[in-house]
Amino acid sequence: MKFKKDFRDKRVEDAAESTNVQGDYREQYPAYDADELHGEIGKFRPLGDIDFFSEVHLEEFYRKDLRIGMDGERKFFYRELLAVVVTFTFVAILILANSVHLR
Amino acid sequence: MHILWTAPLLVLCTFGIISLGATPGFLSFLQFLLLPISRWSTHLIHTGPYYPNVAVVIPAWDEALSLRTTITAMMGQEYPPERIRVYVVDDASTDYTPELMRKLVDEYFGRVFYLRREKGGEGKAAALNYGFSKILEEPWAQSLLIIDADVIFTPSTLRKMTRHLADPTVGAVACYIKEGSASNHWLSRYIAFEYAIAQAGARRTFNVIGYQPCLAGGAQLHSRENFEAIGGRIDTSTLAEDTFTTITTQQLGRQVIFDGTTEVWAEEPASLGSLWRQRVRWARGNVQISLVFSKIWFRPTPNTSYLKKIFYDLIWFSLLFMPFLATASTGCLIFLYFVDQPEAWYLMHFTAFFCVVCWVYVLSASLVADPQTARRSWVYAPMFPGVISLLIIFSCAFRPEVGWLVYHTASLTTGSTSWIPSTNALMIFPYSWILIAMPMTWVAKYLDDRKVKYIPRFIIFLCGYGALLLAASCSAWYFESRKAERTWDKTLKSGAAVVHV
Repeated sequence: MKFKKDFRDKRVEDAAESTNVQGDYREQYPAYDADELHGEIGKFRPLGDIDFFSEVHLEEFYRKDLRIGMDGERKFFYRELLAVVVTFTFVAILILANSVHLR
Repeated sequence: MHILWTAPLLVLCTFGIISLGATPGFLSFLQFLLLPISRWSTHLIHTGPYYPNVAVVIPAWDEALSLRTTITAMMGQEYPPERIRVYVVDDASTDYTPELMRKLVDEYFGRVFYLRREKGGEGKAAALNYGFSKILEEPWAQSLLIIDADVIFTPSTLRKMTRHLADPTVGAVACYIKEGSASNHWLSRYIAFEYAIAQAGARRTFNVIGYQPCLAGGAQLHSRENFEAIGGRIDTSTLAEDTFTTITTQQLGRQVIFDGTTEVWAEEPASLGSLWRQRVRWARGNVQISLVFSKIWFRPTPNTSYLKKIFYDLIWFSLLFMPFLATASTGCLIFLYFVDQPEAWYLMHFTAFFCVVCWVYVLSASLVADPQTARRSWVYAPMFPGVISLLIIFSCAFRPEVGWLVYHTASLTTGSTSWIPSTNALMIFPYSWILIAMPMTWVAKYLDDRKVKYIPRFIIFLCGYGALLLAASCSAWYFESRKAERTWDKTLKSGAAVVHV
């Protein structure tokens, strides 16, 4: 609950600072190999590494996730716009085709 | 003289019913138009670095093949290890689950717990409730994660889910359950695309609407406050316990959030028969839910405006009644064909035009919503409605009647037209196609159950995965109308789920 109270109000600042997190935590912790999973569970991080989850790192995780998430939302928006453009182009083709009598 | 002038009321009613048949498509189109603006309703900006104690509850009934992978993945979460406890509720399994769990409890001592019911077979909800009765006795759990025994969590998923609980108005969080069958067979690719539509696409739009229809039962996270507020147990009166929980949460004023950036992987049915039984169960559950919550429909909720809720309810009921709408619409088209062919053709033309536009948009919006699934299912995704349906709607949308097209193609190919029925007679085929496609998919399921190779796949390719779902929905209505017993048909799994990249 401490986290909930302490960090929720300053989440905007956290997000702003997130770009200051240097490097990728995967570089700092090479044991973590999730990007190369390919379905193999055995490559997951070794257990019991409590320091890995210090409060500082938990904050870093959050900031990273938030930044990646917001970036993903922006990309998602542009991808969905592309779908709208494709559809309207298709509608235009349909209307044009219908204006020509094929029979 | 057109029948429109001789019997206008009859024709208007017919037009109305045919239009109703297009309602699910129209509503889906409107719904998916919300996708681009989902960026501005994201809940990410309301999250916080919140890492509560999570009790992971896994109901298991003969799931020994899957459990080790599921638990190992959960133990490998990028999450403080002391804040995760896994509780496996063994619903009187007859396989080697007890032996396996003894090993896993030793391996992850203090983090994995094994609860066994000696009397099982009462369904997933009963097993879950047994687990909750034990977990909620202690104050340790600050949140509850309900997952299926065959679900693989990627390492960042749990923490991405719990961050939403930093917002006290959020009661529960859902993530994107992706199809993760190791064999990557043809049916799994259809299912993968279906989930891209239903989850990556549709659930994001429900975030915009502010009301989620269902937290997938395979991976749902609740805050303890919320879970206790909804009764501290899972409803056992319907076959859709996850939908029941979702609706109750929202009716009590808490939000349910779908986080599309979180992914888990689950093995889905590998045979048509298994898929059919699963979908019939889901559809029956939705019918039951509609009746159980009869007083909430078309009324605002604490987090949703009146207009948004009406839109949501229209989507819900259009999907629920889709078999009837499709059948009635087709019946009216056939009726109109016999009484006034030109009117029937114009209606077919405009309906097909409309269907094509809806399909192109829903298809492209879903594919771009999940590029990984798009790469995996790009061949199967466009074929979702079936090759014949696509030919019909595209050719009708582009003016030449299907009959005309078939007639001239056949005459050009064979050099003779004497054996071909007239183009007008051939038009009855596209009008009635959906009524033919649905039973055909049942035939495919029947053959697949009898281990016939290739033919079921070919039938689904022709008739469409969508027609299969529609037929399963018809079956669900039939069982509900006969008040069939509410048994829990277990979906058979091989235990071979993977993370597709």
